[in-house]
Amino acid sequence: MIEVLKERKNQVGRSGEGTGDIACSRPSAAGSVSQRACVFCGSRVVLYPIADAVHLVHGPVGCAAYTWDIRGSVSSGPQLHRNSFSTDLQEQEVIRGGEKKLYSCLIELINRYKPKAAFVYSTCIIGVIGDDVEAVCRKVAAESGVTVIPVHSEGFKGTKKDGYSAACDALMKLIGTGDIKGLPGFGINLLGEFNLAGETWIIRKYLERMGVSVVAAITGDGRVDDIRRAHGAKLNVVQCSGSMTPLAKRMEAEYGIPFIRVSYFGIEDMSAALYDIADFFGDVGISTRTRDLVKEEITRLLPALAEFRKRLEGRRAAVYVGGAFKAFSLVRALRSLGMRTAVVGSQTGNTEDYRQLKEICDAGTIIVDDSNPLELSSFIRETDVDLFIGGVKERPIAYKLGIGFCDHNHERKIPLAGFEGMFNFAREVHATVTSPVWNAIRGKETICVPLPGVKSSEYLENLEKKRPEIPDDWKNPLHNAADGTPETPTENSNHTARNSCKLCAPLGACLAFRGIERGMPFLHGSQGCATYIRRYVISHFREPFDIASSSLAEADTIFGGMNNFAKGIDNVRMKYEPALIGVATTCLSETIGENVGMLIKGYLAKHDGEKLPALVNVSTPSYKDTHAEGFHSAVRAAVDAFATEPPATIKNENLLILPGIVSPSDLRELREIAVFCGARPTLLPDYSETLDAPLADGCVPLSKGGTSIEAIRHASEFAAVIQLGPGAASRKSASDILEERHGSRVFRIGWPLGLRATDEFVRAIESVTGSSAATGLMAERGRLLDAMADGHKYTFGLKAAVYGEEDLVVAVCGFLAEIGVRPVLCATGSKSGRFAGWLENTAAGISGGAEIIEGADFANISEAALKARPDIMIGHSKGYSTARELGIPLIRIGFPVHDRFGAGRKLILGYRGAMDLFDRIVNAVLEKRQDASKTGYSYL
Amino acid sequence: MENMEIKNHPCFNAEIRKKYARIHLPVAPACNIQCRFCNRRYDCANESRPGVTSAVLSPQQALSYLKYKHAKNPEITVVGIAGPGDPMADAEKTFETLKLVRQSFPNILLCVATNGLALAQNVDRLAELKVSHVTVTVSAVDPDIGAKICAWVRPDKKPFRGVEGAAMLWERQQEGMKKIVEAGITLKINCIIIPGINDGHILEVAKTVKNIGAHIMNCTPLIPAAGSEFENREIPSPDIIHDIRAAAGEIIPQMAHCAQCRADACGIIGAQELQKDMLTVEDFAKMPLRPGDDRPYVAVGTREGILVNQHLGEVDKFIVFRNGGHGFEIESIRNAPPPGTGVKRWLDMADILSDCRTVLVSGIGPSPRKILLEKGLAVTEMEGLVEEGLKAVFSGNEIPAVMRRRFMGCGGACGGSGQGCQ
Repeated sequence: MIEVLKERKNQVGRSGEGTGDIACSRPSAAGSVSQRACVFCGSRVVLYPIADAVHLVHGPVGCAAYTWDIRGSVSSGPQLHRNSFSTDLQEQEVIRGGEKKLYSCLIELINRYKPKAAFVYSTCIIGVIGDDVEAVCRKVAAESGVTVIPVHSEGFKGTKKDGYSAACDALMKLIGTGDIKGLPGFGINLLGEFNLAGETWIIRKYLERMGVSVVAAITGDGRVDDIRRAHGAKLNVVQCSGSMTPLAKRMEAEYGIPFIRVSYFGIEDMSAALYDIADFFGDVGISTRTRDLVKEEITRLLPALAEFRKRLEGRRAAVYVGGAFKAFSLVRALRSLGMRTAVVGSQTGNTEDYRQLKEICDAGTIIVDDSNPLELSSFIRETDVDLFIGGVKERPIAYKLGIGFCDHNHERKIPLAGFEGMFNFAREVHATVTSPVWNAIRGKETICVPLPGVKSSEYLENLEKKRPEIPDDWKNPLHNAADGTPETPTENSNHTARNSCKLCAPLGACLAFRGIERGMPFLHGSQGCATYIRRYVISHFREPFDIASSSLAEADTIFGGMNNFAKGIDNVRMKYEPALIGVATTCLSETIGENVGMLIKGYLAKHDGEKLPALVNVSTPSYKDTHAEGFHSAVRAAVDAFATEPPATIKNENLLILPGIVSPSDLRELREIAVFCGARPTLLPDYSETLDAPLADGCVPLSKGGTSIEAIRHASEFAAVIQLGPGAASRKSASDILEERHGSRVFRIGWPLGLRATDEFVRAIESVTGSSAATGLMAERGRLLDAMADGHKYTFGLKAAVYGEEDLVVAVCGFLAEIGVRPVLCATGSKSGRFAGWLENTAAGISGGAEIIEGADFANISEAALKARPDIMIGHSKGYSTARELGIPLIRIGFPVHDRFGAGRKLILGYRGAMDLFDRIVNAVLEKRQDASKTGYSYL
Repeated sequence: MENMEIKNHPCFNAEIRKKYARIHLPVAPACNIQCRFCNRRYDCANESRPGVTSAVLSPQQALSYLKYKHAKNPEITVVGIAGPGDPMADAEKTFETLKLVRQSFPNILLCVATNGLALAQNVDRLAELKVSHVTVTVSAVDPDIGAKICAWVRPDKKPFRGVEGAAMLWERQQEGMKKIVEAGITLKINCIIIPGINDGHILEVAKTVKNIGAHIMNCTPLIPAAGSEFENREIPSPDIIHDIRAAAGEIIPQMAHCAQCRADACGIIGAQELQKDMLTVEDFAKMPLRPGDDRPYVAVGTREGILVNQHLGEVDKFIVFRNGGHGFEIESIRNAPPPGTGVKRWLDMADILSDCRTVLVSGIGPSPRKILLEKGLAVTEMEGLVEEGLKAVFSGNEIPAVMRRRFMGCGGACGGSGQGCQ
């Protein structure tokens, strides 16, 4: 039976049962781990696709970082919208006000990019420190002549829906400012069509064939000048009406433009949309052409669909998406594939939406508002569905439960709108539902080789021939100004974080807390932070990653977040039964002055005598430091709180390793090496299992594994502590606490990456255990040497650009020095002032030939790389556009890797890790040479 | 007449079961309770168990089917309605069928099998049609046990779950059974043996129903139907069944030859039913809903011929379909009467479509709907593929919920305040 939180009971219902409405449109319950984001998210969703505008996020770096180029909204021209511009507020600015910084950033961006307009998004903290954003925007507009529009999207000021209406307010400031002379007679605006994977282009083609013109596609491949003239259209056609109805209503009131609501998903809804537009104009030519178009498209599509349907008939699906309109389109589209929907829900539906959903779904269908991972997984289990349709955050839930998944969110890269979109949808559903992997997972013997359907193959071939062209003159969005000309460099201005090379501190803390056994991260702040961080982490690890939030609302920022904090902790205790709740602050809770230590004390006092989880808090305002420091702070906080027991017995083989931000595979490797050296190691944190869980475990509230709190409690009994990474050790760290408190023996060494660094790690352990490394480990060392000898010529003299967290870059450069690769650019988002020194310690002489940048963003990295001309780049996936611009291979390591598979399985530590990394470097170079070779050799 | 009738009913009298045959008419698809062992969704021609049928028939189709079968098998003495849902939950269809059968076969035995939830209120009508045998499935007389067998009951619109539901079911069953006995109808009790749930409770059931006045009892083993909640439960061993029947037999006469028939069973109990040259129940399901009447076609309001997407008032040409041997065929394309003539337009339309049993359109106002219905033309509202709509109406099924209307919501009443709807 499904267990739903008490306060959420009336947000869940079933079709055909009861007459009550589904409760909705209310703030997410604290601690419920809602799948929703925040007001900022709503605004960002709507405005993001305006491609020739500057989008500046005013606040600390996180909000901008988590929304950097993650959407599939493509542009046929300028790529400016794909950048992440942030004022990157620091502590001093939070205290003294961020207006000056905002002004400088705006001026800098406008000078550099000559945008058609600029949008300034206020984040949580702006609403608290009270910057007069309007005034700054007015001033900059007056000085620069560029329209600058403030967007009031403070995260805590409501739900995602309020963000939509803030965006609509912003759009209304543009609409009506352009000249509408000479606009076509049959002109419409497209609202709420986001051009994901080029969907707007598909719709525009249909409209062209009908004889209808688009004045402004406001939210998909949008242009400022088109939007200025949007009031010259005859009709507003609204998809995703949850987000865009407010705008349509205001345009109706102010400009008398009527609107219709449509959906472009599925045969029926797509046809109805086109007919409704045709009917509006009442033109015989348009009507006839529309009828012919629909007939032609469906007639071509149906035989192809029939082939999929044959295999899908009778299967069942669960649907959980952003808006209710899309949810309903999907119920219908599934039905035309012969599938039934057993669960349907949305993040932002309203009462009327749910009333209608209840009516049109088969009896017994579960209908839910604002759900969360635990509910969703129990719905899936109860209804025994074959398919889940949702977004990235839902994907690992489906896969862990062994069922198919279809991404219907804004990240997707496959067009699902239009008639051909229906084909893609069917293909996608068929591929995931009938995949033989589920048979393997369920232990069934049968393996059925998927047969290509004749009709569907034909359709696909035809489709690929006439796919809308995505512009092929790719340019780094950073170097592509609004009008397509190269950016205008400005002298000595580097105010704005342009595509930051860091994330905010709460992310690091959440990661660390998931490495403690039954540890649940809890963010004290508004709902969006938790959701954004979850998506970011999930996309990397491809594992469920639940983060609770106290979901602070506006009133809480005034009266204090005590109630939400307590309710959130209650709910997390009830649903997750954690051993630890790791509370990290956010910029919001820090700025309004929440004292989390006191909140915890108060909570513990109130619940005295109950079975309580351990509660630990760490201060992680995102206007200070980066995710790396957030990670180390959380580890230190855990040790500080728990490692209190005086030593009873110290055994030589017991060893504590503090590894830093490495991959689950790296964690396993560290443990194995230590075992090879006769130690019994404990890692802190240890997410080698929690974030790389075997599928057999299903989808459980908190996956198995992690450092036990008991082990941390008795940390004084470790014979030694190994703190890896100079960055981690540079501030007061967990190892410092153990040293001071218990006189622990501490080794502070670099990451064991490469031959010498691993040797040092091995020697350190040997010196504690008194035994020498087993022959197996020495054989691995030998094989690494062997590989280095075999491949040395391919790596010698290569120039590399390396970026990421300090400790990672330092470690990689140490290894590169061993194989004759010359780092020409070393960059990190952190600002310790000691980065160059650590690099020099690890790879002597490096500072002579390399550009070393602290506090870097990808604008800096890109500029420096263009000068330094490296042969390879090594770092996380956010360096892709730079590598692509340079035409060089990117070897993906570190966090995040969002565009490749198996990021959590990538090994770089130890002898084996170095060997893997070495192979990847050599092969990347070989592959590039081979691809470029005129003879196309196949033998080296 | 009470015990005399038992003699010619093969289910009630083991001695004549090889001589007389029964036919089940699958006319009642709806059910008002969810038994955890039951899954009515799938049909399998090779599977034989209660609740399963190859097709659902309309009352008129059922009569044609019965006439056809009776002509081939004159040994049919009993006509039963056993589902595939619950005959009393689908009472209108059940009684319509019983009435038609009684008119054509005044001497045939009529019987009904029900879960008993909606029995009491229908006993008078059963008696009136001279229904002689009623079977009530009672697997528990203790709501705590009943709740483990039945997931929910829905006497009206609101479902009741768990013990509350089971208690309600048992209360209504008692009321219904008493009335059946009072009306002089033979009462048989079916009791499903479910190991681990009610196998220790069967004798209690036997005593209780005996006290109420039941005449015979059938203790029948669980069939773990695929897709049902009990799909993986073990079935009772033959020994257990034997022991239970023997013990219960001390209390009330037992029927030991039950073959757990399908809802569309026909012939001698337990005999091989497949005969190649015979028309099947599916064939009859394809017939017009009301065989013999003069409305074999379906008219459609469509713009491009593929989707039902015109309001009745918008239609200028109807496409009229027939159910051909290999799918649906266009019978004709007919001009709709021109607009602007008021009521006359609808009356003319009814004439033009007088051979159509229904018209599929995406919308219609209340007044034309009423006018057309009075002229015998039902209007079906739906949006979606014409093919899907025809499939539903020609087979007598409902239009699937999701196609019945268009979604108009999302943002409609939302002020975006996040504080609820205004």
